[in-house]
Amino acid sequence: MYRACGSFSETYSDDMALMRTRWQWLALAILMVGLVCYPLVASSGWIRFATITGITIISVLGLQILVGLTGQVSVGQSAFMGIGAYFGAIAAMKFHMPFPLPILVGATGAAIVGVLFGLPAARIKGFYLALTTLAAQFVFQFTIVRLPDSWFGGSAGISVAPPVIFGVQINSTVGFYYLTLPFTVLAVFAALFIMRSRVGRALISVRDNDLAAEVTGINVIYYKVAAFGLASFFAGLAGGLLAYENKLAHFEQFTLFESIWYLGMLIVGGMGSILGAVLGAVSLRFVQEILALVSPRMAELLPGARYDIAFPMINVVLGVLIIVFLIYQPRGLAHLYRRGERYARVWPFPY
Amino acid sequence: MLWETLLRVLVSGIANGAIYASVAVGFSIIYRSGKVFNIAQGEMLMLATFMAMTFFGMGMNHWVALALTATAMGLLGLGVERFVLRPLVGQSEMALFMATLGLLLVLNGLGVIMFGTEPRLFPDVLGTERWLVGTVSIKQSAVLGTALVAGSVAGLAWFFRSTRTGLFMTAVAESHQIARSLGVNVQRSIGLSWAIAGVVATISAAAFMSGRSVSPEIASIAFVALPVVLLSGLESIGGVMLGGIIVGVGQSMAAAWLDPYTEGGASLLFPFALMMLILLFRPQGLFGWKRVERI
Repeated sequence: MYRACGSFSETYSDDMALMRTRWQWLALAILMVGLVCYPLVASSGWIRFATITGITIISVLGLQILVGLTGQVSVGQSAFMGIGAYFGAIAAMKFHMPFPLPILVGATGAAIVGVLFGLPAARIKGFYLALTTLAAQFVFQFTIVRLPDSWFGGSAGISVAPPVIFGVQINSTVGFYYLTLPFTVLAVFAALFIMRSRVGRALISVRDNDLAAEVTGINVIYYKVAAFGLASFFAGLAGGLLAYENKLAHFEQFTLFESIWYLGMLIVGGMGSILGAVLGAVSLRFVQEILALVSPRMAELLPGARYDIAFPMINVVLGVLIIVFLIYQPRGLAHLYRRGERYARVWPFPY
Repeated sequence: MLWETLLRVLVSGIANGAIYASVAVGFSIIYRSGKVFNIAQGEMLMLATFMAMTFFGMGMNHWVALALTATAMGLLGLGVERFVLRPLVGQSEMALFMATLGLLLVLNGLGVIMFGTEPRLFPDVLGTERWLVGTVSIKQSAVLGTALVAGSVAGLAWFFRSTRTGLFMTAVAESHQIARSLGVNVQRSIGLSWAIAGVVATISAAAFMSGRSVSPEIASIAFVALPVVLLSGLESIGGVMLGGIIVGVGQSMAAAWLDPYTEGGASLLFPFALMMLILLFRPQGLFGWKRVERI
């Protein structure tokens, strides 16, 4: 944290404040107003992009808590999103719960399943643990289709009716944007507060050295498993929102590739910072959107003229980005931002 | 009747198990000589398959085409070491793992862009005859393929246990730092292991794709091979054959007796259920080095 000259704290609560200057409050207010006004200026394609990005941010925040804060790599985040989506869809369609409830049901259900798959964390760590999340991904994909159709809709998935809030049915691109926005903002602040709380500090200490954490009196196993629960809760929240947005909960929306992309967003954004999760999700979703727009043109240039190269192009570019960031900027965009911030603070002096 | 089913299950199980073993041996070669877990092994198999098919399509002799593919895959392995892993020397095991996840995305995307998603027929390189044992017919290509894989696994196990280079590479897996201070060229060892893994991918492509229709989705075989390599232990090379047979036979048993009740789910889920069990109860596998970090 680089602070402007003359900005110093007089009390402890000042010292811990998230917003310490009037300019920061102003910047926050401008950002919020900008987010609220965004649909007035953007085309409907870009509004939908913003909605999907907001949902992605929620999921990547969860992954940040698990991977960035606790140091447990997971390649199953989209499976937990899928569980959230299915549970939410069932709560909405079979039990006819009013709007915010299905999403909470989905998130809680995903958290419970996440804790179940996180239990091996009590015995193993490192990439052995990553493999259990990979198993979770495949178990999800293979099981959900084969369970009786009356449970999870089989290969057709479950279609979700548009949500009704205070008697108003939300069924437009703009409507879904405003539906997602509060959840995304809440998730960002929730993640920020989790990170700055006792829980967050415990998770970070587990990541840095679990033996030392244990000696300091932190229940390592509890926090390792709890991190899975938290990450899956965020994932379930995102999955529930995605089910509403797509009007469908379907297992093909939640593939291994999605999971790897989320991990890529974390690497590109920066491990261990909330800003990193947001930056990574926004920038990689933006790259994906651009590629989806550009690749039909590129397909014409390639021999054989295949028109379905958007998905593999996204994979190639994201894979290259993951490797490049791991090699050249392992602390991600968040670190670049902090460096830029520091440079701007002391400009025109070098330090 | 039961015996016939059992024989059929065994035959198909061993043939499938050999496929898994041939992919799993790629995992363990790379892990054993560099502590890198290459999650993109299935993508290497897919690339080898399609590269071979491209060469076949040019009208080349099958064996020349396979030799060319093996060379190209070996070069690809060396390239991966040079451009992805060498800059990451000294990083944590997790960073290396995530780098191979990136590699998985890149290779998968490239494969789909270059070869398309529609399934194509891989030519018969290992013969098309079928033999009858009792009442069960066995494909010549499956027998030859299994023998080829068993032979190469045995050769690799011998190489890593009994040759100077192989022992050097094993030392690298033990510790980069110590190996280097004893004069082992760590980078060359890792590069060599990747090249060998590329060649092994070509062998498994030749052994098992012949006469099948293939699409880039065959890369997902690697995920079924994960329990195999975990069962045998990440560092064990000879063990993958046993692990492969256990997983393959278990899977065909599930396919024969459980699938009718689960819409084909049991045989798909079996490897992953097994993987969870191994990870929970014996993470080092049957023959691995007991070094799994516990809390």
